[in-house]
Amino acid sequence: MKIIVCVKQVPDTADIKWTENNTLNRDGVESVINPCDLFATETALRVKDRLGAEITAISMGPKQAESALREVISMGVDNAYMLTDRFFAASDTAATARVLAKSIEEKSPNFDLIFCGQYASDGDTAQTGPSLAQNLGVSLVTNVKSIERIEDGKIIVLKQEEDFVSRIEAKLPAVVCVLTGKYLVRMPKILGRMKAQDANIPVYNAQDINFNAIYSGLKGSPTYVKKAFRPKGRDDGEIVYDYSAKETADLLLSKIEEYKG
Amino acid sequence: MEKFKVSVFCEISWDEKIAPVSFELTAKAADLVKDIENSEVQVIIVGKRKNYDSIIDEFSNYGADKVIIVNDDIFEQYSANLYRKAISEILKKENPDIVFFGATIKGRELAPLVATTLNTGLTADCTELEIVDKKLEATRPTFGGKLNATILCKTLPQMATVRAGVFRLPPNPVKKDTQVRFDWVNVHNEENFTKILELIPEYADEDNDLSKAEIIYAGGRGMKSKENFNRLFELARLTGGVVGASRGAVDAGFADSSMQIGQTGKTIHAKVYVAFGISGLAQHMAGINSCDKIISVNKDPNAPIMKLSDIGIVGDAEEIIKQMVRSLKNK
Ligand SMILES: Cc1cc2nc3c(=O)[nH]c(=O)nc-3n(C[C@H](O)[C@H](O)[C@H](O)COP(=O)(O)OP(=O)(O)OC[C@H]3O[C@@H](n4cnc5c(N)ncnc54)[C@H](O)[C@@H]3O)c2cc1C
Ligand SMILES: Nc1ncnc2c1ncn2[C@@H]1O[C@H](COP(=O)(O)O)[C@@H](O)[C@H]1O
Repeated sequence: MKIIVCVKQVPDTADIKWTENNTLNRDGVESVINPCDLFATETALRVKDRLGAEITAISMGPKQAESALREVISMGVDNAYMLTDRFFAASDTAATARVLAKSIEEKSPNFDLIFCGQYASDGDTAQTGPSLAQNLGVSLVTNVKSIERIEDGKIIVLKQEEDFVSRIEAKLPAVVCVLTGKYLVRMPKILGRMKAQDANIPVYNAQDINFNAIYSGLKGSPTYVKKAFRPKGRDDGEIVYDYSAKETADLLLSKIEEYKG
Repeated sequence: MEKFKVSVFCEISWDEKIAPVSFELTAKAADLVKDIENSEVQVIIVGKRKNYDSIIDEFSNYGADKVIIVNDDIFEQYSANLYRKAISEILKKENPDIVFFGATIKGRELAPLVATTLNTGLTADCTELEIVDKKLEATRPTFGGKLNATILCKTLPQMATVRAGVFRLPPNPVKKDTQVRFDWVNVHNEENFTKILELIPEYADEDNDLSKAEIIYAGGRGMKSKENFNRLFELARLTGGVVGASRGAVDAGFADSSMQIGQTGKTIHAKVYVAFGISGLAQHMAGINSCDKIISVNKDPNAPIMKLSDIGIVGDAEEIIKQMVRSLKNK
């Protein structure tokens, strides 16, 4: 079984602060593996534990995102490669999915499963996985809570629906988009850390994967950001201190009455 | 002059009901194009039914100029690939300028499949939509709600998804004389990549529907215990509200995950949102940005939610809730 995991490095959004002059301050903001992608990795590793598999992690982004790949190797992923090219910068999800798809076609075409996170915590579009599946022309299941089994060229999963859960069977090869879950993501072991340190992680640019770079980056992306701005806060809000519980409760109740109109 | 067309995907849920977001988007589309000459709002329905009359009627009420129906036995069961094919073929034929999907679980799966098929761009989870010079300007929160971005699409159709409840149904919609067209798309040679084996019901609490609630009381990790958290239900019962939770409260086991509000939970649109013991991190705030009024109770005056509230009350959540219940009962 050959499995691919798509891993994205994201800024820890809880750390991002606004500055006085309305710009985002990203200084000192740590980069982390997108939370869903950790669960995607864990899911792949569990398949490997049960059925045996070779897992390849891939990430498109700046060179430093390599550390995310080393981290998943330390968890038990077998190998990894980076997709880095200045022409990839500022790609939207459509362009990102094209690059990921082309790299898979060129470098790891005989896959059975691709695990993606359901969404990335920075953009939260949840579009890359579906778009990747469509580019590759393979099955897609999204919002996946857990894998039940893999047999006879099919994967059976539990999918979180609006108000219930469905059991879905998808033909392999398939792209599976994984939610964060209530199960644990394994910690790297010492041996894994050593393996990760020594791992050779190739860095491919557009040419290496026979990708025509005009279909990526700012120019090649169908969407672009016209403006980015600070969401309007509630600057005129007031803060109430030092009231007794009784006073506060009455204030709250009268305000609720007033606001609900 | 070519017609300016906006297409809306009509989502039919498992219980054969139309997802409310489909009506919301139709009404929003009608409002967006009202000053554009020679424009059309069209609704695309894929399904298997005997009769579409009542559905068509409802879409007329919300301003649909045209309803296009692709009816086929094969659509009885939802299959992402077959639905993708059907919708894409209709869109290729119609060449709309703009396409909207509800950002439901199905919509978030189908929209990127269709966008990729049509080689066009898609903006997810928009919270504001505008048409300027016939271009769609779609605004959405990113970075866990810390930044808003207005996104444009260079290619046609310009596609966007919108969560349920972001645009409310107009109180006095303009009824249109709606044209209906039954169409057919050959999906019978397409691969049915997926099959639904079973639908497993989950506990759904109809009395605690966050999506429509006007007053919402939410508790966070600062509620300290499940017992305290449960007092919120009493408060809600006494004032006609419903109860939500932060992920902190869900992770601590005070509340069920179906009650989670935020980026990975429900998006709410209450008139009054009251947060008890919630710090107000971006992922939580992403779900409550469109509430009219936010009140928060937190023992920490520097909790981020304080600055994001209309009224921030520094105090102990447990005590204040107990007192509120007492005051209400003594009324
Ligand atoms: C990808 C991603 C998605 C996420 N999605 C969501 C989401 O959908 N929804 C969500 O809510 N979170 C989400 N989170 C988590 C989010 O970042 C926060 O961790 C979470 O909202 C914190 O919950 P909390 O405010 O209850 O807990 P805490 O941050 O621990 O805050 C508890 C608060 O209670 C106050 N408090 C303590 N005792 C009392 C008392 N006696 N009286 C009054 N106040 C008291 C404290 O001062 C503190 O401010 C997500 C995170 C990630 C990374
Ligand atoms: N640059 C990237 N490199 C690798 N995987 C990615 C990248 N961008 C998105 N993905 C994958 O697609 C998922 C959804 O991301 P998004 O569409 O941005 O919400 C992520 O959880 C990753 O698995």
